[in-house]
Amino acid sequence: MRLVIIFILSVTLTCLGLINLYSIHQGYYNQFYRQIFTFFVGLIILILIRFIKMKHLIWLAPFAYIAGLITLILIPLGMGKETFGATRWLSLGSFQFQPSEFAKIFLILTLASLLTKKINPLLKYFCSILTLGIYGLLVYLQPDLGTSLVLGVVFLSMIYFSDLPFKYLVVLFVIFLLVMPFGWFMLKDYQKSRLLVFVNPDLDPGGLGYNLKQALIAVGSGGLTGKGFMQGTQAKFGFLPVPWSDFAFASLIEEGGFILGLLIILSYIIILGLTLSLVSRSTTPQGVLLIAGVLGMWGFEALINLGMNMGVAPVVGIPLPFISYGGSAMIKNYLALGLIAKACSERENRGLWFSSKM
Amino acid sequence: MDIKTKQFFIVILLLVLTVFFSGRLFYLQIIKGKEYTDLSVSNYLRIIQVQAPRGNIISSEGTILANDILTYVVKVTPADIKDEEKVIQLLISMLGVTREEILKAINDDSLPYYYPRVVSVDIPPDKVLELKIKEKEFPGLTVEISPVRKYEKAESFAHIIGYIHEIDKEELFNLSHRDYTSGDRIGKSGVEKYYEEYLRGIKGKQLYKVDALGKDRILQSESFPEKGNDIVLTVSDELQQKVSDIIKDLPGTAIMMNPKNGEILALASNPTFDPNYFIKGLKPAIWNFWIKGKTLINRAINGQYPPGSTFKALVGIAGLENKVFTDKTVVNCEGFITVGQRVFKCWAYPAGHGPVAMREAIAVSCNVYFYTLGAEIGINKLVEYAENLGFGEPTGIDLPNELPGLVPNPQWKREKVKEKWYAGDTSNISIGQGYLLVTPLQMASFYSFIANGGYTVNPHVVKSVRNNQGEEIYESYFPPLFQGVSLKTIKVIQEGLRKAVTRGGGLIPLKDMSIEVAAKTGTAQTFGNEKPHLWLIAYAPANDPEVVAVILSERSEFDFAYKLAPYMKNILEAWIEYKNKGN
Repeated sequence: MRLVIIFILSVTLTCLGLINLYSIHQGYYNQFYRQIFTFFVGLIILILIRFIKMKHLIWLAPFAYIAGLITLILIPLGMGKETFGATRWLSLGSFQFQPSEFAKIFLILTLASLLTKKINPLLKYFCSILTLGIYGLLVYLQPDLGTSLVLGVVFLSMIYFSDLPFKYLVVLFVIFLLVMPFGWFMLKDYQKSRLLVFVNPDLDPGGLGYNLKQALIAVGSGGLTGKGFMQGTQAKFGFLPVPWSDFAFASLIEEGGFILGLLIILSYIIILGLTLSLVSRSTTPQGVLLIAGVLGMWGFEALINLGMNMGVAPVVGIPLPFISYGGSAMIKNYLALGLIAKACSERENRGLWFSSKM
Repeated sequence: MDIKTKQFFIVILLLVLTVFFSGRLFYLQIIKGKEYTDLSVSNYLRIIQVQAPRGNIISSEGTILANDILTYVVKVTPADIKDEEKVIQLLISMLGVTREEILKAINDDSLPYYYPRVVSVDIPPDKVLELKIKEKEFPGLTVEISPVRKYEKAESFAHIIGYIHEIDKEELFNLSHRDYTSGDRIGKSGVEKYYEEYLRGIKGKQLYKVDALGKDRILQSESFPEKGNDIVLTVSDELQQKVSDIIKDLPGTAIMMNPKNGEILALASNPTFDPNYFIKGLKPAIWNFWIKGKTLINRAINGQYPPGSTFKALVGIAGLENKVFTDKTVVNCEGFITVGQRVFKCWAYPAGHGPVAMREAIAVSCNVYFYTLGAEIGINKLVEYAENLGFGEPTGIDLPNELPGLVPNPQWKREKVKEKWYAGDTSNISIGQGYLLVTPLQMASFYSFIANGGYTVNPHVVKSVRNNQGEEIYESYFPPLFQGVSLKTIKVIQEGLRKAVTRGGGLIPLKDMSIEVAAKTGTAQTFGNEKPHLWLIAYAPANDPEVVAVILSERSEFDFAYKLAPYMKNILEAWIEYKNKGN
């Protein structure tokens, strides 16, 4: 039942994303049709995943991790496609995808497998940090600060729900705090300025602060009931940057107003809340971690994206689950939904339960 | 820590985030919604105004004196400029404008940054083509057609028509609610200023929806500019030019007015200026020269002078009406009179005029007669009559900034000069001297009152206003106002004024004319014994006057006012010629 509600809400949000694409492109439907296409691909994957056994998925995890690693390495080797000064896309013929989106799923699978292995907890801990670190660094170098942060939160969420002793988590947190200042110097200038602009939008009204301001204008001018379908001036006339992706939420509630905005926020909270409740419903440790990973991924993506649309989080380029345009992200989200379903399936769980005692 | 506890912490986190995000959304969309809506509208809507052609100003004969012609102007739009320095260099090299002028236009922050600003007007045709080609290469630079004011017979009509110029900061502040924006043209003086509302027309508006780059402009709605209304003057082109020409070597002013309805037929003030300079750009040297010579002052309404003997007509009226004197009362002029401790001389001193009565006294302009009469009337009654007949306040002519003159009284003297009123002060007023000040137009108005038999008329320069369909939307009509002065009194004054011409003194040139002329001279002493201001006021025909003419010669080269008689003769002959054409 809970899975059904999550599914219905996901499809609803996907449809809102499609409405947004239709609205902002007024008469130019390229993105709209592509998104419908990947939506169906996502649904098919959701169905197909039912035919794969959970233990096979876990068994596949290392191979998936290596496949993800290869795609991520191929980008800096010159096969990537550069947009907006960052190389995040991989072209295979006419087919393009974003390896970093799939890397999130691969990381979830790999960590679910790794963290349930019966080995020395400290070694397990080290291995999982290494697993995250390799992905995280490669994504960070693209450069894609946002996605590497998502990977980090996925990791934290899974550690949190794993059976690793709590003290390791505290140690990790302390290390994180110690590394933070060095992390600042590792940031590229534009990333620093993004964070600085977030603190003070007037710093750069023509550039990043301008984007932030325009997003706030789009959201604020929506008012209670919004400007109406296809009437969003901020998105239509190009004042709102990337209204199909990063600022899709602003674009939607410019036209739909406070009522729609509240519904969207509640939808995410319900999805996250139900996912959270499913964590304890899974009877296998792998299942628990899979759901925990997805929870961390969706939760952080929604938190940062909604936050930056409302001017309470820095603009770091994280898409909004289901709503933002992007084929790779769409497939990834339905894949994640499939993983949750898999983790809750009683039939599947029995076999795994005996192979790895908790 | 078991899994339920872990979940519980996350639930708390989710609830906090729900409240936080909903609250934030409420704050942005509901509390600050109005503010952000305004911001979003100003993002995409741009209003660009199109100057309306001003109405024409036309003489009573129908000749066009001021009109808008379409010329090419160069504008810069700061929002579109890519390379400011390049644009500035081009404008300097091609049009000879200065860097300061261009920067002033670009940096005018009272206009939105997307608003085109004029940098140079009246571009010669050969340069228009050259600049038009360069529009693409220099974004932000445009050549457009725009109306520009042109004044015909400019120097002759300058003081009546006035001029227009770019609106200044103060006017903009006061008139912002009347749809003026920086860079607009506005009437600065004369008819251009007084009838600004009729003349300015309605600006066109182009409402654009613009995208973020400002490139893709969709014309949302457009209203076309509407030309202003045409103004028809009472002033005759022919008379104005002749009068201007007659007094061109005579600093001062000349007014010709119809005493029956107050229509100004000609009004010239010397020195004069060419208002076209304000349109083409005024060089500081010319401006300073104008300021130094008080060139821009319309002496007919902004010049205040002692009226001298021309004021005696008023003293006469006050005396007869108060029954202090009758027209038969005789005063023996011995060439001087003693008032208090002081000796006041008649201008005929030491000879004196002998016994004179009212008509004779006006004709010979006997000071002693009027000293005596003034003293009998008393200052309070004199002031009362002067004020009732229009002195000490503007006549109400339809020209801006008219001055009121000054009728002093004992209270005024106490407050301003800090002295008590002496009998001698009354004597001075009685012959139009002392603190008394009048404008030449007030004198024209007062002599119209005498000429038409006791009615005050409103002097005016505009006959009617016509809209673009040629319909009259305003027609001047000022009913003459009876002032309660008996016709018998007026007749006595009229006879005196006629006698001044016929008795055969200095005014003899006016006697030999084809129509009967009545006239009065006046010599106004100036402080510090500079050259006097000389007056000559005449009306004709004497039995049923149709024209009143005033000449004021400021700090005159002449020593006696009657030397203005040939000028007056020329002016009246110009009028006769005009009249004979059937006007």
